[in-house]
Amino acid sequence: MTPTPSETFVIENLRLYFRTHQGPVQAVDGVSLTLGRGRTIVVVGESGCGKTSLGRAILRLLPRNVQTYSGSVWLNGVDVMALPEEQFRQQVRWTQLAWVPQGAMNALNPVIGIGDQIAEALLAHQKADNPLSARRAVEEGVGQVGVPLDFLDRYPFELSGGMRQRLVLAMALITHPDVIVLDEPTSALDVLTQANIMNVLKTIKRSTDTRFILITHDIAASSELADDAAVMYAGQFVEVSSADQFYREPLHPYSQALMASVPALRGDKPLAAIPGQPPSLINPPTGCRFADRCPARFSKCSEEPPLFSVEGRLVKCWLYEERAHA
Amino acid sequence: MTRTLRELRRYPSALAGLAIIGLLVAISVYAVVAIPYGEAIRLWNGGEGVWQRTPRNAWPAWLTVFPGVHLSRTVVVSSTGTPRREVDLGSGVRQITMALPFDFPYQSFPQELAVFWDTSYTDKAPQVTLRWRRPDGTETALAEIAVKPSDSYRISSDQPLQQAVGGRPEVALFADPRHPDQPLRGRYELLIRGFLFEPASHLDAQLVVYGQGYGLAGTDGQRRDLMIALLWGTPIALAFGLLAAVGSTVSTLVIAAIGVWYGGWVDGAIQRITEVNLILPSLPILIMVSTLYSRSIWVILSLVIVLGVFGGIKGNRALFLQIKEAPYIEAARAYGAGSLRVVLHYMLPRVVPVLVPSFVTLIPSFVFLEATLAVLGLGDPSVPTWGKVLEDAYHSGALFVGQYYWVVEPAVLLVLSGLGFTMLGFALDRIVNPRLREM
Amino acid sequence: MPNDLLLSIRDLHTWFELRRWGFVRVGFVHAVDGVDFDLHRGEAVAIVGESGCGKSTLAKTILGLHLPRQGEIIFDGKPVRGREDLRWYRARVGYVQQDPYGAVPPFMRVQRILEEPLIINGIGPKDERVRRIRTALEDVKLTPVDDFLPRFPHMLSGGQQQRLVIARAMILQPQLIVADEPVSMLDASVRVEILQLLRGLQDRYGLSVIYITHDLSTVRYFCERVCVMYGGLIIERASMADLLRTPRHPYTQALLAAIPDPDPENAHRLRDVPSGEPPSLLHPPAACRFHPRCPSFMPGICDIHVPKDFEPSPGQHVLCWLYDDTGLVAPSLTRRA
Repeated sequence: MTPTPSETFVIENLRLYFRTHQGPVQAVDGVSLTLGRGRTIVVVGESGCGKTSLGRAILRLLPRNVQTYSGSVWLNGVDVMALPEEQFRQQVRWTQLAWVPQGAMNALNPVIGIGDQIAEALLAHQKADNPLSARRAVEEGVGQVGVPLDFLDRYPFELSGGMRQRLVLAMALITHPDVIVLDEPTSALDVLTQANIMNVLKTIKRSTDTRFILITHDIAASSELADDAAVMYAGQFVEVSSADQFYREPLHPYSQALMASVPALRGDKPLAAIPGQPPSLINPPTGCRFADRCPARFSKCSEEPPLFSVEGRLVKCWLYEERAHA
Repeated sequence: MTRTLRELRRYPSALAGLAIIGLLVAISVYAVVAIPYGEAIRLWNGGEGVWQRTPRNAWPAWLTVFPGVHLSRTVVVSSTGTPRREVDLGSGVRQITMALPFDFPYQSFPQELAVFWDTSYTDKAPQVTLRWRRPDGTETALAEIAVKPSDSYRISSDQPLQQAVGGRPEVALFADPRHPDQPLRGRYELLIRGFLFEPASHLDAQLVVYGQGYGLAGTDGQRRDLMIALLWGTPIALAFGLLAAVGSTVSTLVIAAIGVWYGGWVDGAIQRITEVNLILPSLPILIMVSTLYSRSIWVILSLVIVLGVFGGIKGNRALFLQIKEAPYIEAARAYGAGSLRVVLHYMLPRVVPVLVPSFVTLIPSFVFLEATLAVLGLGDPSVPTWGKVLEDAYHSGALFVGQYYWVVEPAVLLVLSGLGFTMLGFALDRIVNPRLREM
Repeated sequence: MPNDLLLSIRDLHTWFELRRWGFVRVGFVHAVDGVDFDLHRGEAVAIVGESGCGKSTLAKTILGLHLPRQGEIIFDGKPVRGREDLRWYRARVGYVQQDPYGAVPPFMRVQRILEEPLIINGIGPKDERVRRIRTALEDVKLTPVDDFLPRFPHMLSGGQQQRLVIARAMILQPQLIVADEPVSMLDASVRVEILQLLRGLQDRYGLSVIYITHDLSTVRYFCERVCVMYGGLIIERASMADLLRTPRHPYTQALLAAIPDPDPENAHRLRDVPSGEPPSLLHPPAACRFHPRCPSFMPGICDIHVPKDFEPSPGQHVLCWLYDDTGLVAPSLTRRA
């Protein structure tokens, strides 16, 4: 694969399989995406589709029972997947690639003041020479997320959920990484707080070049940040397109069904459920993995479709075979 | 339950633990069946009457499988049934001549020599002359003594004889003249000439040549076969451990559940008692009670349970508090479940599987506690337990005189039982506690 | 019609005592601080609010899980006060919880889970219980019934577990179902199923439903009336249509403005939301509880006088000094949703 311009963040054919007693769990099964400078892609999917594993795979935060971990992740012209673990830890993780995991606001160290925790990320990666300059960087970072400075000496339990989530964001931003992966950053928050956090993210997006990968099941919330959208089902991307195209006209039957199942506050939209359940990631079915729940299923679906390129969008569905070649 | 058993198969340590426990249970069953309790007590406390024919401080006899290890065995020769010559010397005096022959094929000396008399008379005790004939024909005069019923002549402790033969009798009487550090193997005879002074009196003798090795486990300083204590120590240890573990776990569970469910001052009171109990030093209290009050194993068991009950409450309480907040408990209250039903049917089943691993690892700790008390001299003296064996060994300075087997045997059994239960307990813990589980 | 009223709540207060070190009283958490509420037979009402507003506590008080400090609950014309009342009351109210897996004992099979409420309430004999269990499972479409009866909860999917919870709530043939965030822990595609199921059961059995949620978007598909809760009080009551068309209370307006629809235009604009945090229920703000965050805050009024219940248009009630019984009286600085 020819290396792409160093401005682009590219994931190629990422695979992550876990070894379990019941067999290998194919959590991430050949995922590819491209993210230009300053752009945000949302990965939308329901529980069990492998989206959290995708985040882990990108950050190389792997558990012990990994069976297969392959693919390439191109960042700044370098395939960081090929780097040895220690080099990855020092040079890439958190300095170029940062992560806000699900429930991060509840995972803050309860016995360390919040300012010190944020500074820790700096000091661990030798981005600050001494605690004083670290402190100044922290204050700047915290101002960026809209938290008053006097909160820096408090402990996590003294702060509300929304405040903690902002500080976790500050922690991810403090080293000015190129890419930040956010896993369900607002799911546990109330509507007003969620809107506030989204405002913060939008502001950061506008003022920096940071690329965001937002992983969520909340389609409505994902539209707040998306420049591009990818839909994940059973470990694979079934549709990748720009936000404008995706939210207005989803192509893949699963994307359409998902859109149809999301209630809208404004306008009159009938709701429809998707029958059946997503397939298990252990021994996924051959052929199209959505086939047995798909209303448009036909004979060719017993064979796994490739990701067709349709007018600049990617769809993993036989229904678009002709449009792709047109 | 079946799922747990199936999962256990994946852990080799659990299987090893189960095998050890199975072995211990088998030993217990065998002990109880082969030597009923009353019999065991009788044997253990029997004293001279029971253990007369066994050597003192004998090593386990099977050790001779190892090259270079020579242990002589005990040989017993009895005069009943052997031919004797009786000569009537007139005026009611009879002379009896007997020979007690035996073969001595061992490469190490006997430990002790003794002759036990079986005689009866009214006024005048028979007089006996003893001579010793070796395989090479040499004879030695041993002694001339009067014999009483149920009496014994300890050849080994005969001081004049020691001086006469120049050394310990059991060595000197057997030494090979060409190689004095080895016994002469062959046929020996004890020649007895007795004079009976009454027509009704009779005389029989039994020669016991005590070996250095005996049985599977050897003997202790009181000539007791250690197998009895080792065998019977097993069911006692298991029973003590199990009863103590069950007693304290159940009590802790119930008290914690009640405290958590009813809350308020009930919970507060239980917590204060628990905190006081945490400070109480249980071992000194146990020592106090057994020194001043009673050393009966039942008293000690009850006290151990009582002291242990409040110790585990904090942990169980934490579990219960967590469970109490579970949504399904709330739902149960919403459809009308009463407090008792919630505690018994909704809370306890959730807690019990989590407690099984700690229960299993609790058992050996009580076994060790009992052994500790015994070693400190506070065990029940009439009951044969492993700890008692260790205590006897300690008091006899077994390690200083090289009687390692006396210490090693009960120690190995204690360690084995501890190992078996803890391996099983740890494996169960990994199954029950999902965070420790392997994928 | 007077008989049409199923549940009537007047001036309900549920406070929790906060103690330090077990016995030093520090204060009270005013979780529900004066709620009036009416529910008619066959009606579905939503109680909407963010976390910490007291809606879950209100739900649990209605279920009899918390004892109110003050106020009255009248069900089917009869007051619900002490232990004896709770006995017949609990059999008439079903509870559907948020966490489908946590709501059922993981060590019981489906059959036993459904049988428990029947046993506790003395429904028998066994045949009758089995019949009811089968009917309940069929109602929630967990079929074939025999396939599901011996299963443990962990053998069911999230949606199936929630159906089981609904079946359990229905098994005593209640008149009222209280559903506390019944779909928030389920996937998007499953939520629709469950909401449709609840709606279907409501139509078939004439159930009344109190639907507690923070997700206003789902309310549209389910409920006729909405109550918005903030800081332990119901600050606005209206029909769903009225609420969407003319939200009165500034908080309601903020809530509606903050909820996104899947619209790519969202990425290009910031949302106008009030800053700050939900109020502490331990020391609620004086008078109007929203005044510290309200864009239409009128000093001297909103922080001094407790707002009254006004009805600016028929059927729409709001606790806000911007209004009186004729309509909007003070200029509102907030934007409409």
